[in-house]
Amino acid sequence: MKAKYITTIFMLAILAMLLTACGGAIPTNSIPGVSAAGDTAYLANAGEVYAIRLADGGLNWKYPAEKAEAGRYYYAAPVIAGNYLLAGDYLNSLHALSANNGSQQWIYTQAGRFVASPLVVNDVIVAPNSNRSVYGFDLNGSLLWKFGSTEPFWAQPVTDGTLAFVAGMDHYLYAIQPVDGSLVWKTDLEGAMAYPPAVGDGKVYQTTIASELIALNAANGSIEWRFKADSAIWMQPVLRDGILYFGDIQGNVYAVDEATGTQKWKLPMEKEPLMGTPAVLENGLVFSSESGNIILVDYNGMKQWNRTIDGKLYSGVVLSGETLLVGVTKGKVALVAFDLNGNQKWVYPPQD
Amino acid sequence: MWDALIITPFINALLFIYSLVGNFGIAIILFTILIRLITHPLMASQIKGSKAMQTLQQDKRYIEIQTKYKDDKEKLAIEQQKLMKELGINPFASCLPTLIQFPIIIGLYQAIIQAMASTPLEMMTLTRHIYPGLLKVSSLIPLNSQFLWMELGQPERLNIPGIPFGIPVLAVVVALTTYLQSKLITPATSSSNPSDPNNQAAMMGKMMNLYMPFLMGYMALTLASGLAIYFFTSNLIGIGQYALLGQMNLGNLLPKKKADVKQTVDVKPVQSKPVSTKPKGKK
Repeated sequence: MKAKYITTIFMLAILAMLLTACGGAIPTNSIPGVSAAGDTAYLANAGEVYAIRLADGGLNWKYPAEKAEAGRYYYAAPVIAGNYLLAGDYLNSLHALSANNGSQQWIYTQAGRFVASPLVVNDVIVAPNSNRSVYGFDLNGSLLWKFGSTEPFWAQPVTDGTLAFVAGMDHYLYAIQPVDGSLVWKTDLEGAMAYPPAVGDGKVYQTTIASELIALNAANGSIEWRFKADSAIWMQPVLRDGILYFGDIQGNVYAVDEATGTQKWKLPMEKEPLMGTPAVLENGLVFSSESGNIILVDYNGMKQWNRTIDGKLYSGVVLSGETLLVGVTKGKVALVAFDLNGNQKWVYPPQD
Repeated sequence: MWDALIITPFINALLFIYSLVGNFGIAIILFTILIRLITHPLMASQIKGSKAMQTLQQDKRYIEIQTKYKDDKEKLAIEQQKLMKELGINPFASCLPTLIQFPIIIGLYQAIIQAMASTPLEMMTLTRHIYPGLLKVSSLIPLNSQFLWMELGQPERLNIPGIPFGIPVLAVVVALTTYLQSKLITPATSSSNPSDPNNQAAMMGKMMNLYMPFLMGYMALTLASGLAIYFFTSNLIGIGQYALLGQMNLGNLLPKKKADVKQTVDVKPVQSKPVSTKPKGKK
């Protein structure tokens, strides 16, 4: 009988070992990543990356070309790096694909989850990761450096042409040298950051989920002013003509003076939780809300038009030429394209 | 409704514990213990009820009724009710506490899942559950999801230098404790007759005892390690609760003797105490 129990325990251990090989990651609930370059829109959603023609919404290619791999999810918006399209996944890998046909060119597999998109600056790929690290690669995928922190990085870095600014969930905004990953400065902003800052006029403007917009000196990281919003901010601010624009989770849109941090105007939109980065048009900003609305707000704080999509919108709005692209969560389609007047052009996948 | 009544209060309780201890793994363990302690009276009542039902099934008169009215279901039901009334056994005494416990346990499970937000969308959803009067989002987020060698939002593997793959320690431990728990809380079978419904239930129990460890082990292997910690803690508490109530059947872990088959018994009417609180494994 003793042998029977020992055998059972042994079999369990062996089974667990075997299952390790085929056990994938946990199912994830995240936001489709949308980007565009040239005449192509790129969509990272669940198990696949898609290259879609901006003209008609037709599929150019998808990656992987065959069946999606179980447990491998792509949500970070793909980014063009030279001839490659970079797509990070939730199974610890960064993929460099041919932008023309989606074939894999190289892959880096030794990281953690790539929630955020990489930044390409001066031929260096700066790739933030959930494993509390930022990686630097050359365009051929060779690791140049690794920068460590205490919490995950969920925001795409931005650059002023010299430094890379990386927002961390650990409440710190980091300025690092892209060439070697060395730290130039870091500043505690007392709130986690899931979206990138805006950069301009020698300043960095960062939002936090602690409901603040904070302006910092880009050279040394000193805080110049703080603006308190009504609720958490899950959005990259937009800087245009000396005014910063952003929305909060309660549906308020704010215009804040970039020099002083004083509020110019506020547009409250009840039941329209705003998330993601808005698109900047000549006549206003296009926001997307969780409730499925695409809303154009002009630069005087007036709502101009509103379009509704079946699904939840968290990805923000991407502008490419004359097309607005919106990634959809929990909807019948994954991507919707509008013209600049809010008329729907196409959806992906196509519907009958 | 479900979120407002169960999930949100549970998430806030879990995060409140986390804000006190500063470690999410320990917070999960303490929160699981707390919820199981709160629901302990219900579990005790359930065990008492099911024990009474098991003892009833060993009663001579019950067995006689089964045989006598096997072709007349209506009469069988009436006679069973009569006997249960006579013995003071409430047929709902075991299932009602289970029904009440069920949403609490599901809520506990869902609260832990939601609190282990590992994507921006999950984090945003989590922050909306937080009571601003109780907890401060800015200082609470991000949660420290590192516990021992585990990243609580990810499946657990222990990487040992020299071994090319991670060892799923928690999955093995969860499978083992699930097996132990199921063996320890399973009552001894009372009949060797395969047509006996009691024996059929025991057969089903045996099958469950075999499959559940594999299922739970697989879940611990593939789901976030924070959930595996919850499974493990829950198993240990379950064993402890049965031990506390004197219902742990250590005999199931020992080799069985052939003469160990139970005889039918005469059941006395239920008083204020359980019918039997003596562990069956002890002779």
